[in-house]
Amino acid sequence: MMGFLSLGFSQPFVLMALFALPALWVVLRVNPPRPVSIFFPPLPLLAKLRTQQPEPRRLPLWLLIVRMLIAFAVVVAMAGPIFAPSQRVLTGSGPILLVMDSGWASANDWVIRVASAENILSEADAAGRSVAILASSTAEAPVLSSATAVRDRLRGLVPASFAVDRAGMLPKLRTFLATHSDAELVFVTDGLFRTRDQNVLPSLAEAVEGHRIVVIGGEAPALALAGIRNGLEGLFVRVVRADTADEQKGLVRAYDTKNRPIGEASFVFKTLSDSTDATFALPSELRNEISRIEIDGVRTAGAVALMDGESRRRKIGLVAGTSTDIAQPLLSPNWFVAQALKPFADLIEPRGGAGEAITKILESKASMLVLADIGNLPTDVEKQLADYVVQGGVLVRFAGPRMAAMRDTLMPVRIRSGDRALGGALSWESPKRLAPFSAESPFFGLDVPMEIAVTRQLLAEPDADLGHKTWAALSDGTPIVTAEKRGRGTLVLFHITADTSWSNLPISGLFVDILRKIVALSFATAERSQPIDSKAVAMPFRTMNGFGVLGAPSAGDKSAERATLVADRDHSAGFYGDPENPRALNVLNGSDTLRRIDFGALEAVQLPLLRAHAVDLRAALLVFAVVLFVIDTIATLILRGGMSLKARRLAKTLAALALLLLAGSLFSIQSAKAASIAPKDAEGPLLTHLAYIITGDATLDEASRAGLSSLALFMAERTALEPGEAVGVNLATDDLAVYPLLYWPMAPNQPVPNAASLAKIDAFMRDGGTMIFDTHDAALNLPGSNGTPETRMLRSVLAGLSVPDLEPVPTDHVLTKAFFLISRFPGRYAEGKTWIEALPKVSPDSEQPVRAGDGVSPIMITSNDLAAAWATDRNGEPLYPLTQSMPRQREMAMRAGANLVMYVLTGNYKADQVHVPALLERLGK
Amino acid sequence: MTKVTLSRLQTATTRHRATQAAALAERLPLIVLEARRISALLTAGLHGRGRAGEGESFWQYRPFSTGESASRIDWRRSARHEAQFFVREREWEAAHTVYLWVDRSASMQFVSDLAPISKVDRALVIGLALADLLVRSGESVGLIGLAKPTASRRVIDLFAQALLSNPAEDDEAIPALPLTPRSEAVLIGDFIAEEGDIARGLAGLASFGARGHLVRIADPAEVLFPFSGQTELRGVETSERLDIGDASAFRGGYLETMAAHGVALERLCAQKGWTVDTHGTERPSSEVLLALINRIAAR
Repeated sequence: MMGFLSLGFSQPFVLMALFALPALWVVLRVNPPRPVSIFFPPLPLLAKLRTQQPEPRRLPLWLLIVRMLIAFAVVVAMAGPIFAPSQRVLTGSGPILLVMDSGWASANDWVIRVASAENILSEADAAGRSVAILASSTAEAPVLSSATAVRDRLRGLVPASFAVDRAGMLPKLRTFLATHSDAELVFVTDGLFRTRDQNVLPSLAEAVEGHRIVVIGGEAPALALAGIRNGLEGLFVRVVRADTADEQKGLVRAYDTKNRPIGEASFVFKTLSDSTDATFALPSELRNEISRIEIDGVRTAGAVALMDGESRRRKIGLVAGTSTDIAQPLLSPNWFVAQALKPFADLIEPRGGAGEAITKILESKASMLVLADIGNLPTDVEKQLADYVVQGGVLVRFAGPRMAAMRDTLMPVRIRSGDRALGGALSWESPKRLAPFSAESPFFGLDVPMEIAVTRQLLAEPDADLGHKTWAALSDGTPIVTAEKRGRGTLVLFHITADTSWSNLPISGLFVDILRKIVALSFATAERSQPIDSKAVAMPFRTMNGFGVLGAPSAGDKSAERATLVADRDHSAGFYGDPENPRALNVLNGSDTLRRIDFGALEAVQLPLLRAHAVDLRAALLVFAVVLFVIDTIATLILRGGMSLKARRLAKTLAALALLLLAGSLFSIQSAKAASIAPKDAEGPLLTHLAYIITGDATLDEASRAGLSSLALFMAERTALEPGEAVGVNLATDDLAVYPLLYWPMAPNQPVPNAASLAKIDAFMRDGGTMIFDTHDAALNLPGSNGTPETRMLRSVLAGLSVPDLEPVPTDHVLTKAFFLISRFPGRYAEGKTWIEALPKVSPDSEQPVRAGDGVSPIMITSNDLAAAWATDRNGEPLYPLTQSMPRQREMAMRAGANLVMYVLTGNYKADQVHVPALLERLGK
Repeated sequence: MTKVTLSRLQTATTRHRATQAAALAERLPLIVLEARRISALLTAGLHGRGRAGEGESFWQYRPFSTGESASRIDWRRSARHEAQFFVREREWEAAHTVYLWVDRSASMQFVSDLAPISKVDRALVIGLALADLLVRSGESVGLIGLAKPTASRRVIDLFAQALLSNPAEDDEAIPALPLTPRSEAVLIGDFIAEEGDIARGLAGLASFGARGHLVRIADPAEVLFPFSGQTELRGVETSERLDIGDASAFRGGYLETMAAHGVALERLCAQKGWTVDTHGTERPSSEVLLALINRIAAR
């Protein structure tokens, strides 16, 4: 490939033909167009006029130029012009170390980064130089090998959801460079470093000194979310960026657990500022629904902020003893509690009597209720409260003079009547201090300041389980905070008042922390069975890849203590811990900023990333030539007057129309994308069509079409369903929403669909459609190999989709009973497993004969080449041979297909059907 | 280039230019129908010679003048008057012979996009309709060189057959057959020929004193010359070509030439007391037919 400026030619020698253009000029100039000849009867009378010779004809100059342009465009098009070809970047002859950043910041333009790296590899390959790759997200040390081997490794890389650990890279870099002193370094980098890697940069510069360094992509823009703060006015999301030069605007969107959009907020970076806030001013109920916040249009894990129960804002009801307390608001118990809770919760303090206030709070669905020194409650209110707790509410009570005299059931422990006073005039004892929190307490880990003293408290009866119920105790062991689980909720009792009369705890910082822990609990208790244990080891539950797509945790993700979780090589960002109440781990946290590495200090050659796709100008030039040719033809015809009179008028109109159309089509290229459902698709809803994705591989597509057609025939023969003609669907242009299921055979040479198409598939799967992925490689897929090209293709497609947990179809899945009773899903091969969305686990002794989740699995993955087994020609003769590894395999394959279609169309209907005998039996009794 | 190849070329290159009798036969039913339609249209306006003479229909009564034969007195009319005799006069109905000639040469096959019908077809429609009209008004009509004069009501069919069985030459000229003294000739054609040739033909026809009318059929393209751009003209009866360069520049000279030809034609006719009507094929044929009838009736 030859390159100058940013234009390259794949066949530059064809350009030699341009030298012939002057000759063409001369020839065209002297060879005017032949005149049109007209039969004309009066010719014999024109003998007199015959003597006048017309002046010699010349081609008009502009027509000549048009024709030269046509010739020029054709010649240049034949030379294969490609805009923005790869640059030659390597110079030396030694080995090459390719340092490939694969952290979250590389994800947004990952394809381009890989393409850029592949260009380097191609160049190295051409020069016969060996290459080592150091991927910053993996722990593998660089090893020299051929460019081809490195290319395979490169293609296997997936960006990870944590920042690149530059300090961790440094030793490997040093080791490699120590043995290869003539190595040339190529960084394909996101150009960012973590705050804690700041002092690594000088050592990096020192390590690479003396080597030629090429840095590609160090200037790529980076935008991320760092920290979410729940405040009074709303949810604040901190947005950070690396380049501070310009003003920048953007949008963040919030989604709930089911990926439904909840709200959006805009952010604006002022010039030279590297962080800003986006505010979701939403009601707290809505805020609590948010589980994921994304920067619009940025597909990286860094641009995603996950929210767990702990970061959500709660609604808390406050009720104090009597209304007389309001006379001195600063001394009322509520004052201290309210001040402590305000920063992270919405408070409700209804007026009126205690019973009335409690009812109001319960109606407003508060997740936590604080009762400060409430005496006896009306029986009905007490019952309401008891129900509230059992249903998952958190009831926090503070002791007080009134409570010391009361007896009700809403206590975690039995209370001795009367209170104990310490350090008073009648007591020998001095005020007690708090003991450190025990490991069982949710407050474990909080520091206990020495100045906290308790002068009065309620005492608990020393029951056997008092120790378990104690969350905080005094130094003498008497409980100061006790708690008990009731149903799904929790009862918490402070044995002191919420004001300062019994203790100075309410004016300490610890009070805030303790309340915060309890508030966090208020969400967790709804579903949790054990109190939160911050020391507990949190298993990875769902982790993100670098693109910000959540999925099952990868092999590299390790468990960690809940408290110390940080996104790094062993801990991808995602959800950790108990699936019911996971802890969210984000790529960046509230204190992180994005900082650029100054590669200028390394004396590196800095290059931008390769453009996404080198633009092939051939088509554009040929279209240009054709348009000119049409113009030339029309012009020639008009010039020659060759057209009959009516035709000429028509031609003029047509030419004008054609020009208008051309202009219109140029205008509408963009808007055409927003076209509505095509007629082909619109027919879809009226008739159920089995559809397949057009892969571009003619053989595969034909197999899909034939397979689905014969399956449709089979369905029409055997079942009540009469599907329409099998439809080929173009991912890029067609609307998917009208098809219930899409069959997608993986073609290894098919380009990975772009983000828009992936989003379309995602929407299709989320809205109830079912994708059937077929890698048709069951015979080739050997265990231990890196997978066939089809499998790798599938992986790269799935990397961009949110895929539920999968399992091989269990024998009691409703899919095996949707129409035929079958146990396997063979295609051309019978060995491959069919994967489907995992069903909720049931106990092994369950008597249910069939299981089905809610709705239909959005995805099925098989390697059995289903369509080829279904495919028959017009006479019903099979088109492809089977492996015949099970009896009546073709029939079984058809039945499996029928079950698939029936399952997709009827969902868990059959699972309900198998209960009919039991229901009838019950009715009979 | 031989005549055969030329005609083939013309058939291949221009529409409505088939010169073969078969092609005419295909079109003839339509032409006949059209001729009948036009003729029927004009019958209503047909009337006699408008003067007294030998005839069958009543013209007028006039007072008997002394010296006339008594047998001419119309006694029934005279009986109603006290003192005067009346003579019944009949309309003058001299049976005339009209000879038709329709030019069917190759140049007559021409039809441009501006015209609905070829010149020869229009000429045939006019000729046949005229024959029918004349026969209805009691004249006998003949086709010069093809059919003897007849007064049959089936004149259109007879003439059509005669035309079919005698295909024309590509370069047919005016036949110089002398007509009887009191007959009239109606020549329908484009009269694109050298002035001398036309004069010779007319002289031959009129040598015994016959009188006549020329209907000059012209295609609008021939009248307007609406061409532009680089053009080469090709003859239809000969293989000659004329490169005229830019046609729009050529138009002026062409129009002058054609005007001069028209003037020459009128001069030729005027010398013999003949008349010329020019008919563009874009006009309705009844127009020229009515003019023609009036001219014949005016004799």
